[in-house]
Amino acid sequence: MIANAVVERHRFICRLDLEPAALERLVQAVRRRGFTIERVGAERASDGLLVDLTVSGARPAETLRAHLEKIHTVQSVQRPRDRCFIADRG
Amino acid sequence: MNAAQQIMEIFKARGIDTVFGYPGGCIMPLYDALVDSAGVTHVLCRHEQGCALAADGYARASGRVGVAIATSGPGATNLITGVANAHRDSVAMLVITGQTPSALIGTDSFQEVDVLGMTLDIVKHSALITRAEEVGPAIAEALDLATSGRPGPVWIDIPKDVLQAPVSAPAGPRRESARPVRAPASGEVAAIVDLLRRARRPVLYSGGGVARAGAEAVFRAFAAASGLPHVNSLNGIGNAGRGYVEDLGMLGMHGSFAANRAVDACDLLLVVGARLDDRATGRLDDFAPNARLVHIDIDAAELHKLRPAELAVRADLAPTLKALTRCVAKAPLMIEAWRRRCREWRQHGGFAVAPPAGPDVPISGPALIRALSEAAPDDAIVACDVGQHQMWVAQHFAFGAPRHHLSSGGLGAMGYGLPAAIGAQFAHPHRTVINVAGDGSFMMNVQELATIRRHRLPVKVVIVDNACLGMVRQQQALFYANRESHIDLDHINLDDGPDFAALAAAFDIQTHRVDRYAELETGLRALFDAPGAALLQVAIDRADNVWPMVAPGAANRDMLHAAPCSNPAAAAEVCP
Repeated sequence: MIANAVVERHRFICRLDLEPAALERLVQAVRRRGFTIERVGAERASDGLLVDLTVSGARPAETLRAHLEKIHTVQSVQRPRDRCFIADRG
Repeated sequence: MNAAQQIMEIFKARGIDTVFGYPGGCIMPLYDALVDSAGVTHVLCRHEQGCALAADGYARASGRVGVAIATSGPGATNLITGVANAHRDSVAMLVITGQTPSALIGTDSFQEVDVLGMTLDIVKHSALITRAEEVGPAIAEALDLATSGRPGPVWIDIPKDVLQAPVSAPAGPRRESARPVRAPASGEVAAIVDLLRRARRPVLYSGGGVARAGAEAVFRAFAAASGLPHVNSLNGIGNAGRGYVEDLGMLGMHGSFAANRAVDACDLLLVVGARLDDRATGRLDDFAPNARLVHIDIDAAELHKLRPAELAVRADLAPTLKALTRCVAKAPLMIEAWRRRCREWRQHGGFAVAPPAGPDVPISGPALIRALSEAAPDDAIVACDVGQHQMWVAQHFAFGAPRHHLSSGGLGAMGYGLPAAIGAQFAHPHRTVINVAGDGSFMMNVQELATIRRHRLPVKVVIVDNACLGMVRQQQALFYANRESHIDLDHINLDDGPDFAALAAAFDIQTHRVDRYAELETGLRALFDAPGAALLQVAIDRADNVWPMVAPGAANRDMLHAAPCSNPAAAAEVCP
């Protein structure tokens, strides 16, 4: 399944707790799970840190999302295709 | 009260009465607080790796959280193997390390390492606490987090000055740490039952998640109600108990022919608390090739991770299995022909032990473990190390419950067994605890014999001694043209292996040595009759291999067997 998969780009919008190592944890998990970071932007928001992450990889993006979501300092992970994405971004 | 004393108060309030640790410079405030903490027993292990692995063994055997404590720098780095082990096998653990004083952090000060940075991948969560008032809430949160959902280690690193600083705030969790996990929706349960009823050849595959979820009893009730043929992973050993007639045993690289055959032929695989580890699945493309996969796990990241599931249910195992039991109990599954086939496979394809050729020949590894299993009490706890003996225990020791079998499954850490046995003995002071070790693994944490002596622990150690690194030798024989490379532990010409009897005697531990079948019964009796700790060294044939075996990267259906393999190097050619 993985060996024959095509490398694809995926975008995630992540809200993190404002805590030391929260961003480090997130980007480390991306590498650990077999993806490459193509672009990352982070800015402080009222309730934490907002991270706009673009990654590439051959593995399923939803599996990476599940790995990111279970990080204790991650509040939420959304992808632009999520139905609630536009509303939440506002 | 300072922050260190507040940690002790939290321990007492949470019922944490046993911790495993090793003092040093930056953790001294916590050790000072321990002086006045009568309700907390501190076990001084003799290496920080021993602390972490003992905490792991304590947690696995008891179902409670294990606590490991060490100082900064080398104390923290020595913990890492044990913490990684707990992480890989989902063991609840709280790790507390002292850190260099706040003002020195980042200056390369004495015994300073970036604990938070170097442990990110081996913890469920971790934190460097910078203010004293955060210590109590962080510890409370860590305990909640370590034991909730999929358990795991949480590491709290605290600078020395923070530990010493006064605190007054109450110590509730900083935030809600246990993310709520829903019971399965009724539709999900119905969908699983529907798939089960439509299957003609279903198999139940359980893993370590059953015990971690505290779902042992409900799992057995489900197995009994469904009558599903059952296979388990290494960490799922004991899930089915001794009496389940449809149990086929462990699957995978050193699994039974029956288990691998049933999975290969099944049309539905119900995976419960297992993560489809590569040692269990073999070549993934050929794993259960005709089966629809139903996967139940508390960790969403395990679902669809290695193989897409027809139906994936993220839920706590206990309510899920209860609901499934109610459904299948109402109307039994009509799979009797399939059950008969699986039983036939088990009858001819279980784990076999060849009878000894005579009383004076060396003992085989499997025969030793069978005899040990028969001699040990039913509720004995066995902590293994890693290697051939670990697989022989998995194959030949009859476990009645998953918490009776402690094994380093995910990490495969040699040196696990002795400290894990110590932890288990603290969890169950009146039960028989056995460390089955290899002569290689035993030396990796041999210093913990001092911990056994200090606390007069009645741990029984069995060293399966083949004078070499047997699993490496086996794979060099099979897959590297028999080119043995650096595996001798007792050089055949030098006779330079350790004198285990003298070593144990240094710690006041009774020893017995067995070289022939005729001596085995006496040796086992000496082991179990000894009032305290005892060590039994059993010399086995250096050429013993673990059979059956699936070559790394091969499909589970392509098992290598002992029978045609008098020349081990030829096995790979002959057996597939």
